[in-house]
Amino acid sequence: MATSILAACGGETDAPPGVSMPTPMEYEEHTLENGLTIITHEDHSTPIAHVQLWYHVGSKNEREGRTGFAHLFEHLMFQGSGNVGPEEHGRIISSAGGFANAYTTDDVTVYFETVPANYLETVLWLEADRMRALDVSAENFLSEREVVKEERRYRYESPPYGDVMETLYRSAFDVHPYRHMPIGTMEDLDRATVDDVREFWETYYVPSNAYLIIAGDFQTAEALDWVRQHFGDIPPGAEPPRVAVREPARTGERRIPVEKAVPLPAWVAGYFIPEDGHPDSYALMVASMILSEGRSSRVYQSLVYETELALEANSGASVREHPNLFFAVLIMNQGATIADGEAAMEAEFRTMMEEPVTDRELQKARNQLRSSYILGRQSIEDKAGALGHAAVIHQDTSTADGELERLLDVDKDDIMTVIRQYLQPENRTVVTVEPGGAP
Amino acid sequence: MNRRASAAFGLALSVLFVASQEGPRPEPPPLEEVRFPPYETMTLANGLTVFALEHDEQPVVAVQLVLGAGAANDPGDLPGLAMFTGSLLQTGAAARTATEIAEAIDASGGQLTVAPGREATTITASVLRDSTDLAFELMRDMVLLPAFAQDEIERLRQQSLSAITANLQDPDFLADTVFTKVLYGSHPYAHPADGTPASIGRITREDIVRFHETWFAPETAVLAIVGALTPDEALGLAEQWFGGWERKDPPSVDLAGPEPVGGTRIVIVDNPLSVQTEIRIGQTTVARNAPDYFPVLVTSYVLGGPEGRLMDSLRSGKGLTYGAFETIAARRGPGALYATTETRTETTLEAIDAIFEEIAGMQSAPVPAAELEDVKSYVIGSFPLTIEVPSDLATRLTNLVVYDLGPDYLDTYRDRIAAVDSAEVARIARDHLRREGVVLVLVGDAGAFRQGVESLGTVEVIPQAGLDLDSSTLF
Repeated sequence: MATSILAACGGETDAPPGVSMPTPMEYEEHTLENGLTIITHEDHSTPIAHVQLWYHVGSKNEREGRTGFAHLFEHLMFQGSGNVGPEEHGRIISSAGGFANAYTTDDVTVYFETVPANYLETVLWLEADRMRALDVSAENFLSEREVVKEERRYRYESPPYGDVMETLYRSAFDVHPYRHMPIGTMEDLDRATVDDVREFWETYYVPSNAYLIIAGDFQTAEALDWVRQHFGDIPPGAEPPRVAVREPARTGERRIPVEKAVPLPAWVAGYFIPEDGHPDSYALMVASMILSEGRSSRVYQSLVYETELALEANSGASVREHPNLFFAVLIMNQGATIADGEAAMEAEFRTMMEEPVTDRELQKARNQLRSSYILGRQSIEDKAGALGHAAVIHQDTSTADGELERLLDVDKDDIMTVIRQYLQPENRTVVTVEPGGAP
Repeated sequence: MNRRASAAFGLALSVLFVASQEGPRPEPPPLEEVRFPPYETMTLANGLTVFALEHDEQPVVAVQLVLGAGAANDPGDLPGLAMFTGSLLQTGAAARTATEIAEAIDASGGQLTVAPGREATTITASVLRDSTDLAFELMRDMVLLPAFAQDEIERLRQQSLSAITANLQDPDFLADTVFTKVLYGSHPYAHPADGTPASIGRITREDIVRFHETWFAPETAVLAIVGALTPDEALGLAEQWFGGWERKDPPSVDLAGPEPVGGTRIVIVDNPLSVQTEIRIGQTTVARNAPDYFPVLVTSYVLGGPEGRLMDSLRSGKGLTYGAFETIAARRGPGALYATTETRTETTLEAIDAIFEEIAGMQSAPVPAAELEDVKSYVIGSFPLTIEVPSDLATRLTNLVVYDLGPDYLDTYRDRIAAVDSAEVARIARDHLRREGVVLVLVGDAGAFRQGVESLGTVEVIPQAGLDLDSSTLF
């Protein structure tokens, strides 16, 4: 018989061998006089460079009646600037063999490019040009708004379960802008005007609200020269306003039953949890790994494998800049009911409230965490993403690596404590989706 | 802002002094030619091809084993059999149960996936270097000693039935599946890779064991080991774990060209609740290793690459869609070349017209030199982006064998792209991109656009709920 790790261990509470600690990322951080933050990480293993320009603005910064605007604005950033024509940004990068795109979340808008290393200065020039002067025609504004509306139909309205998260967030939050999704509503997209574009750009697209991450095959001193040359004389702008509103504490469960043309019943629960960087957020992340990371996890083993109640069963902490939600998601197998699924998921949570996780589970989670800092950072894009998140959301770039220590410090008591505190029915909003209506 | 300085990891904070003017777009310096990193290859006595490439940016090893059989090897009446066989490999092998395999890989912090495909089944493990032996052991056990336990078969059957039920209401899945089935007709590439509700119900353990016995053979498999190991170490591990895999002399599948589509075939999968229409328009094309693959690839990028004419017209110009592409599905046998987009119901006809208009444009005038150069430099220039991480490097290597590309492919393909000229693109546009004799599949609200497409050919409308993937007529 081949040697089996399990056989060699002999008992179920024996922990697997520990995985060694990843090597920290080396980086430099600088700030221009106008407030632009620059973070560089050299990696000469492949002759390519990756740039991410993070703006600290997302859909939570949108004003009433303009949901979806931060994301629409992201599209408009490709529609022309001082020295670059509509769509030309993408063409320049593409003709070099590179790749350019952007994404918008509740908290941030991130523009990124991967290029052959000799095109790094070109990318910096392109990003500086649209930070310096946006130039969008009324015609391109209207056309791009239609593209965004197609994106909404494609991602949220057309797929069978596409709108479930939107329903959950709208129901879970009363006052905090997390209650709307970055895609926004059709009505609000139709209300957006070119004047809104100017106001948004002047307010949020200023150097002091931007973080430029450069990773890959370059020399830091030379790259900083280029940054200074292309971004240095952009006026600093005013400090942008921050979202002050906070969601009041929840005092009871909310349930939203939905009937629509879906193939299988689904159950989605969102439990209020604290913000990114809060001590409890780390214990919640480790708890969610033990619950549902990999096929040996509790939720997969119980709901998908043993009882076969669910086709998909997942949980995860959506840790954001402001308090957000811990998710539990079930898509039921044919013949299984939502009530059975909900009871089984709650039973998993209850077990974790009452009994500590095993040594083996905790060690496995720690191994997965350590290896995720290695396997999850194989590309320069991965590395730049980790640095950007640390700099913008934590306002402390050292957390890109330092956070691992906090995750590894989570112990059995911490996990029991956070599950007891947060994963209670009165702290959640539940959306149930039952198949119904026409095909 | 609250910026906390930290001395950790060599962090330096500084303010740069600034004195500069806005200048013209910088001219990039020339890049030294990027070559594929050196690697070693050998063939084991049992016929297994092995590649080893040392890459130690991180202490990571990627091991990829590609088995030369997939949905195209399914018996015609048992679509989904390759998917079943591949998926079951992780659910018990040698001394380990499904749970024990999952426990072993999760505890190591590594990742292990099985991806059943159309003509190959790919197993990939990404692990930290210390767990390399575990990755080889699991992979060897899965391929040589799978259990195919009856209870795991029944579990997979239930999951697959739920999954296919869900997929049959997903417009993207429906468009791709129906397009492939109509395009390839009785050819093995037509098999619905995920099976059908009927075939999933019929597959037995004997079918699975026979498929495994017949098709998963060292002679048609390829193994790539990329990461923090020397080639000697890697090749030694290949011999140690896979040297005992016995030859099987598997049969071959006839991949000769499918029956051509008679006239334009138009199929609408009708769902009156749709807010959007999924659109696929295309034809079969050359094999991945055909000399014409390079001009076909370049032509497809001119028409439908990320900065191509379809995006320019349908998205940027007309605001009809979030994305419009010309896709080339590379195969050992005849590939597929087709346009793909989605648009709101009321602009369905406008989008179809715009696609045909762009195809006509490719046929009526030569592609301007600058446009062609941009496309070629994109394809050539993107090369270094595709060789960054070990698992990507492994895929580049296994593709050499999967698609029979020849040993000099990685060194010569950029020259072969560079050699494509506008006359060749014109020839491909004329001979390979058709406006008649194509397959057109629409998934959406038929009532809103059926009449409009009737001018293009005979229209078959299939209610979404009545779609039958087992039937040659689809309902």
